[in-house]
Amino acid sequence: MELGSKVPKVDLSVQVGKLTLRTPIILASGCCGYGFELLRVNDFPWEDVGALVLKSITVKPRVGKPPPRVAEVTAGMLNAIGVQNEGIGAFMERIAPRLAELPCAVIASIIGTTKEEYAVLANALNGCSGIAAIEVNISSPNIERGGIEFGVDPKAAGEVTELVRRNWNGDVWVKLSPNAHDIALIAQSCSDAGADILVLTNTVPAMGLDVRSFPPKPLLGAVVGGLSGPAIKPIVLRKVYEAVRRLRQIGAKAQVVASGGIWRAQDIVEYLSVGATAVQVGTLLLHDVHAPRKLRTGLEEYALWVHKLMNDEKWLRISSYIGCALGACEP
Amino acid sequence: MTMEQTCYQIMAEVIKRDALNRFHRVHLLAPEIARNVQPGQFVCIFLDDGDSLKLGTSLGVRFIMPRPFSVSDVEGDEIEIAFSVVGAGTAAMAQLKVGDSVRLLGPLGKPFSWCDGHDVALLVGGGMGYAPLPFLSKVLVRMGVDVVAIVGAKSFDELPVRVTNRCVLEVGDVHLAADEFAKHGVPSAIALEQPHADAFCGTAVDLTLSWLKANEHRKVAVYACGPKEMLKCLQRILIERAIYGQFSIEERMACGLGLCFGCACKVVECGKECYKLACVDGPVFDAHMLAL
Ligand SMILES: Cc1cc2nc3c(=O)[nH]c(=O)nc-3n(C[C@H](O)[C@H](O)[C@H](O)COP(=O)(O)OP(=O)(O)OC[C@H]3O[C@@H](n4cnc5c(N)ncnc54)[C@H](O)[C@@H]3O)c2cc1C
Ligand SMILES: Cc1cc2nc3c(=O)[nH]c(=O)nc-3n(C[C@H](O)[C@H](O)[C@H](O)COP(=O)(O)O)c2cc1C
Ligand code: FES
Repeated sequence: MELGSKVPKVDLSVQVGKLTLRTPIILASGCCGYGFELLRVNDFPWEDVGALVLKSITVKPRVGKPPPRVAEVTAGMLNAIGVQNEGIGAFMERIAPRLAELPCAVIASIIGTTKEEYAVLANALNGCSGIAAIEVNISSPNIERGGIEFGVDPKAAGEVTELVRRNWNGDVWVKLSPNAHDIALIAQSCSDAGADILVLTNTVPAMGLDVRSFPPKPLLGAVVGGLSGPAIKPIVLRKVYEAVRRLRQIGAKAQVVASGGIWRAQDIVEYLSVGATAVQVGTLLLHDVHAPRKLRTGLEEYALWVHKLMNDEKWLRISSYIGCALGACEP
Repeated sequence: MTMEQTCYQIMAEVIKRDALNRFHRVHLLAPEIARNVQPGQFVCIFLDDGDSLKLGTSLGVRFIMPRPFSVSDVEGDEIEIAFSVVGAGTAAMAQLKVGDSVRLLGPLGKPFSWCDGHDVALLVGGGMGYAPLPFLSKVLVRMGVDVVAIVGAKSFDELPVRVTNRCVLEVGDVHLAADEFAKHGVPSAIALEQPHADAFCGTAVDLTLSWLKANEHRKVAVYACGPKEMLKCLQRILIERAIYGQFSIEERMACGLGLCFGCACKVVECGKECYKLACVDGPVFDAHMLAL
């Protein structure tokens, strides 16, 4: 760079439904607690976080699964938390009133064991001003009934979406499972039922054993759980690609937010390129609380490189990258 | 909700290293943590290079989860970590050299606390579990508390502490103490399950029981850390004798900050079993409330 020449500014903002996010980096449900836990982290890069999704809430309190609840595996981690939470009543009383203190947009995640429970949860959250959208979790592998059951059945997924749509005034985000046989069909069904945003995906159902004892022992107290982290990124990338293609084919206006294995800025570029509007970061945040800043810096570097390469101002806007590889991906 | 303690993520340089068999000590330059950490609190060590997120650089995906370690001592701007090699992460840490840097998050967790009205603090460490106790002993001594310590191991070779014959706790026919406590002027005794001429023959819990019997007239507070089996036996003794205690426990962790709900441990509260988070509600718990 020549002396005195200015580095152009990269515009990282994206429009996700009715929300304008300052960066496409969203903190994933279950990996950022209720947000407040991050306030004690010195120098936490709030300015690089577009929004955060609260830990999933249920109607009744849930004690969660027995320990160990987490385990490290090759290029990822397993978890079986079992949606430990105090239920919607305690949430409304103790957490909801304080959400406005958080320095970014807040999305609430809900999970039900029956379809009706989703309606109850959505309805209750209407009374909470600090919430910008609801993310409907129909994909957690760590709940005995409900959750993922609805996420692998196009009809049930649509019904749950519609119930939330009818009981909640804001944007409806629906979080899908990578276990769906045909994710494009599920995405279509949720979109038809009124989903504004589809989040792809939750963890991949998985398990692991410790062979240092014999007979080998399950790594998780619950035996089975969900896999997250870099190991799942190529899987989820394909799911995002398939869902985006279908949504574009049918002319649906629902947008896709990617969640799976983001570990560095180029992973975000990949997701945006196949049509995701924003991304969620889960395991990486647990691994490095300063990750949003490092991701943002990496994104800026990438945009500057493309800007120079293509000699077009448009590539200084991150939103321009959404779907930019779909042409090259045509079979 | 009370104001939470600030926690720092920093790159900390290795200042000093030493090792004894598979037991290692590392001094890390971590001013922000050293100035704020209290006994019983811990740090998370992340073994991947902090820059692995940069575009184009190789992915560091081997050590996804943090390795939590108690702070075993503080000297000026340095914290000391004492650890044993048990798996891939600690094996990698054993390769750390002076001048290397590691990513650290801390201070984390609830510290030990002193309860007024007790005459003496008895610190019990099972194997590597002794780690948080030297720092605790130093701070208690500074507060003017009478402190004694017991360290147990299977055999002399399995002993994670440096032995000395200074500052030996008067109990049975013991002639060996741990230097980690002697250096703070705290009397200690070594218990070994495999017979040894200068140590108590038995477990740390056996030795604790005989010390308690010899000191029945005193109001004791017990601080312990070690294998679950040891804590279970110790808890039984504390309940039988109505002795106050605090235990530091270990659970696998994915964040250390209360973000993931991954480090659950079972406790009994108001007669009901529930899970608490070891990283924010612990790792130090009232010994009587743990469902071990
Ligand atoms: C609050 C706390 C304080 C600790 N303080 C010390 C200390 O001062 N000195 C010391 O030697 N050890 C301490 N430990 C245990 C230490 O964290 C583990 O020995 C270490 O994480 C093992 O890593 P590894 O990769 O070598 O083992 P692996 O078994 O290969 O690790 C696999 C995974 O399991 C986790 N894990 C394995 N053992 C434990 C364990 N006992 N507790 C929690 N997670 C575990 C690892 O972090 C890793 O994520 C402490 C644990 C906790 C929770
Ligand atoms: C410890 C842990 C807890 C999680 N809890 C939830 C949850 O409560 N609700 C939910 O929708 N997803 C939950 N997830 C899934 C994440 O939000 C995310 O979709 C998934 O981990 C994939 O992204 P990642 O690879 O970036 O972590 C959890 C993931 C982890 C690792
Ligand atoms: S380790 Fe994540 S909540 Fe304790």
